[in-house]
Amino acid sequence: MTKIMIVDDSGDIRESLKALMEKEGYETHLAFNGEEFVGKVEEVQPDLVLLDVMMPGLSTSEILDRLKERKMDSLKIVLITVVRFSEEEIQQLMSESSIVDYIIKPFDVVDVSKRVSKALSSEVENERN
Amino acid sequence: MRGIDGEFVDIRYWKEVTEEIGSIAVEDWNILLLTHDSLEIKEIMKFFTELPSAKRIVYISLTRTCSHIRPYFKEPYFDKDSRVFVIDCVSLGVFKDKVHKKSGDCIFVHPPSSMEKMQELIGKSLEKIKPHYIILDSLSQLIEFLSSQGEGMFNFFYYLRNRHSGCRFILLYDNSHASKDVPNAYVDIILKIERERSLLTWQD
Repeated sequence: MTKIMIVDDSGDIRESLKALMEKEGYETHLAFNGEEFVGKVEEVQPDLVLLDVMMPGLSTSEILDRLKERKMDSLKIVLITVVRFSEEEIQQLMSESSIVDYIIKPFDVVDVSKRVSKALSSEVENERN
Repeated sequence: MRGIDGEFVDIRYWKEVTEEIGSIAVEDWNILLLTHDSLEIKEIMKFFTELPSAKRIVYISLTRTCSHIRPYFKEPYFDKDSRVFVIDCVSLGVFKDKVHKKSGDCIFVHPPSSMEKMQELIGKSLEKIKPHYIILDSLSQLIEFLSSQGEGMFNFFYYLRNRHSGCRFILLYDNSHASKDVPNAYVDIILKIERERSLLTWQD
């Protein structure tokens, strides 16, 4: 079964994404911050990570560094965040090897489902190559 | 989360008080809470055109990067003589190249780890910049980020109210992200900006 890891410090967001992903037939694993995520990720080996950008503790760049150290930088990550970036910054984020999409909160559940499905498909990799 | 049947067709600016907003802005307030439903910066900026002009403004951002908001900090939203200093609490945690950098009137810092650290940040801004306004974008994100309520919130507002620096505080509050109640007991004025939602109908 396809495994999705949901990393968000907001319990409401974690639970709503969990319900949505399970409705779509995915197996879900939760983490409430970056530390918990990096502690679990090797064991879980998720197919996709839904990652909040701004959480207490490890920053996004620190999380990406930890993944690189563990040679897990090919892991697909979709950022889900309240943070608004400039167009140039979005391009910079998307150039990171792990990050395949960027969804802003508040999100539309139908849109999230579609984008998760797309991120999991080979379509994204083809677009990036 | 959005789950509406209609489309966003307009932005409604406090429809009931539109005519009075200019006079409200010059009233004797210290803390103004501006609530909204996930409006983008361009939509929020229209509010600032209603404020009396100020020479120095500090914008503390927990939700938008300096690069994202900087293009709006000019006329017609702010007076040409106004100088807006952005304290960007977002970029440093995402982009490594922002480390230890200061770009023009943008300063990059890590997000405050407690309400006390936020107070320190505001205190330094008051001391060094002596602003006429400090805009916090947003209080809702700060509360979510720090999981702060109760005594922590009371102390934060107590701190703001006792600055006596002549600086006014504008606290943005995004209703759609916040899981906590709006801390309306501690502020002087609450204004609400919302999108007007209505169903689009097809006409032949």
